[in-house]
Amino acid sequence: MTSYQFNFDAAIGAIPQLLAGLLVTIELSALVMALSLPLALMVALGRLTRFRLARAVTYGYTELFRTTPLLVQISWIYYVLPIALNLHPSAFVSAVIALTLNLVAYLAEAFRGSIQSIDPGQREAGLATGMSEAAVLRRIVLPQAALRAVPLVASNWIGLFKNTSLVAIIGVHEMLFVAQDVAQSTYRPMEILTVAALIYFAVTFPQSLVVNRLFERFRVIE
Amino acid sequence: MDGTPITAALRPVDSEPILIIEHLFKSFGDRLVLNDVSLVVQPGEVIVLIGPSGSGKSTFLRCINRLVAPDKGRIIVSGTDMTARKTNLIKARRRIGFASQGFNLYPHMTAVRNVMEGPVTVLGTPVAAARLEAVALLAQVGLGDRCDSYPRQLSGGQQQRVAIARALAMSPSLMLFDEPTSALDPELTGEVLDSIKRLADDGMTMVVVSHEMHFAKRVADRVVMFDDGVIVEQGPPRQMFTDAKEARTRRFLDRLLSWEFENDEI
Amino acid sequence: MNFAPVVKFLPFLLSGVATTLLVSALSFLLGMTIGLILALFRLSSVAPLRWAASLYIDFFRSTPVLIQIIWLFFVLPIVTGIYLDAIPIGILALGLNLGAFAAEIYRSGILAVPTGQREAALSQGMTGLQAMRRVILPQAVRMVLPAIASAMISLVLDSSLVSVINVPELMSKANTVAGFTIRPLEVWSLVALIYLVLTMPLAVAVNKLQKRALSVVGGR
Repeated sequence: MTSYQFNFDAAIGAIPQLLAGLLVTIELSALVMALSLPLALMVALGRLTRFRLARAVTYGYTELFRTTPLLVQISWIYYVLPIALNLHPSAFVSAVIALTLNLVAYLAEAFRGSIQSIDPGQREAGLATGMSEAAVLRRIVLPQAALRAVPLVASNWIGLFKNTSLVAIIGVHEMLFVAQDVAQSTYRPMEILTVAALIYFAVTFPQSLVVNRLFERFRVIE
Repeated sequence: MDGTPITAALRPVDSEPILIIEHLFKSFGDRLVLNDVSLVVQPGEVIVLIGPSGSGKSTFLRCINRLVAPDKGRIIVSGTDMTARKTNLIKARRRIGFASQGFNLYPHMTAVRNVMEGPVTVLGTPVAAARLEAVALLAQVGLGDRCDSYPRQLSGGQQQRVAIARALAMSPSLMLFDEPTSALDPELTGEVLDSIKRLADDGMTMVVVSHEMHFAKRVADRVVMFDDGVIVEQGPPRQMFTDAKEARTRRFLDRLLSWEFENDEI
Repeated sequence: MNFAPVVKFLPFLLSGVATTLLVSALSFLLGMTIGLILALFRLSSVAPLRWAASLYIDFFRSTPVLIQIIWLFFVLPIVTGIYLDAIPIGILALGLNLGAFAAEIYRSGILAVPTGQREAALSQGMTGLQAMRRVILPQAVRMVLPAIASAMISLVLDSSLVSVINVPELMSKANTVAGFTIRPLEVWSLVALIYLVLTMPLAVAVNKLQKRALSVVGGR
């Protein structure tokens, strides 16, 4: 053991700043989730359509974003917009775009799985009563699939909430960025990072309990 | 065909009982599943337990090898007190064979590996010797040619016979069967019941939970009727099936036999 | 786009790939071991073991990996006085994190094995530990193989995060090259492609395993 003197004064003094960072984390997560849900549904349907081109494009998209690190995606979006498209959005907007593109890929796979898990007999029954394919999808398959997707969306939400910490590298002032910033100016990295981790835990853990409940609630018994 | 086992008459009466159960109680939550059950089984005896589902038969059977711990009462198997705290349960279970309705073969092992697993891991039998023994046991239940099949490649009846061979590999002095044929298609029950009957003919002591009345008539020395956690009555199969004293037993048997009869018609 | 200035640095980037693979492989082994122990603790009949495992799992699953990595980087030398190289710290952080997720994977597999299997093993005279090792775990692991493969993909992707503590893996080498060539777009596109090549075989394996998972442990 070293004779390190713990001093949480700086960390406690930084709590208001950390909470302001937490607010950005929450805003970012909420915005990204709201944008991702409809987009992910479209991508999922694209994966399941009989149009080969749509299937190929959506497949390429989901695999690309699920097999490359989010950190690389964030860096890439941060540079591609100004260099290739001559757009100069704020770091926050870049972050929203990168996180959304990433989340859509994962959510789309969750949606596809939920849709495919619906018994084909359901579709047959709908068609047999004279419904169109579109009506069967909208009135019979999607409502059942939506219930199964609820816990998956919730656990993706937790993942997103934690992943927002990555946009600290492009300078978005979310909680981890604030923590590192304060850590550097006060030379108390250990205490401040500990407090930041505890805040993450305090906010995320109750949400994971809800996710567990949702998994039990919506568990499919077949 | 007259089903009274001849051996029953020849059996010495004054031998030490192999299984003694005294005043067994068990409840799950506030549901009393066993309510003061006592039973004594002599060596070589075949007991068939009958009774409506939920009457406590399965729990009773699982208490004997202590897969379920009773709340109160004593269980003595071959002189070993299964309910005493100092008894090494792990060791005591070796001599009690158990085959359940779900077969529960290990799906990641072939038939012969399933049979060898106990002797090798528990008794430390050398692999080569265990394999020889296992092949012989599988042949005994008519599966000498299916040694290297995985459970999923076998029919339900074959799986149950492997499960019986697996139990026999531990040289049990007592066999417990929990509805061994209830998960089987009707045409497959015969082969399993034949294997069990052969065991009985060889003098194995057995406690069998079963609703196969033909089997009970032919193989059982004693039929024990369970209902609501108690033993309602017991006796030789002939007496139980034709001349039961208790109304509950008669009602149960009537329902069972009329159903079997109707099925025979079809 | 002009890849010419970037291609010169390909060997430099590939040396980062070697570190990425090393970090991923070692943290995978560490994480799967920790996960197994935690899963057994969580299913143990000893209450304090269950609580300790739950606390560990909940904590590591409820905080971002990135903060765990940075935290360990600062805290380990302060608390223990041991100054480790960045690579072992990165491996340790990723392994500790994976342990929490792996524990839940193992646990779901163990709970999915029918109770009759344990009964059968115990009634043959096996001890609880023997039943777990010889009968339950082999089946459980087979059932969760797709989940384990997915965790492996996540781990390779997450290994990019240890670039923040300057582990010289692919991501941090890419940062260097991007700064040096002033061609960030080309560098990040190339790096994305390299990660894709690293994880795609695993992704294909996951799909195959998922299709097979049902037939492998078919019961009867």
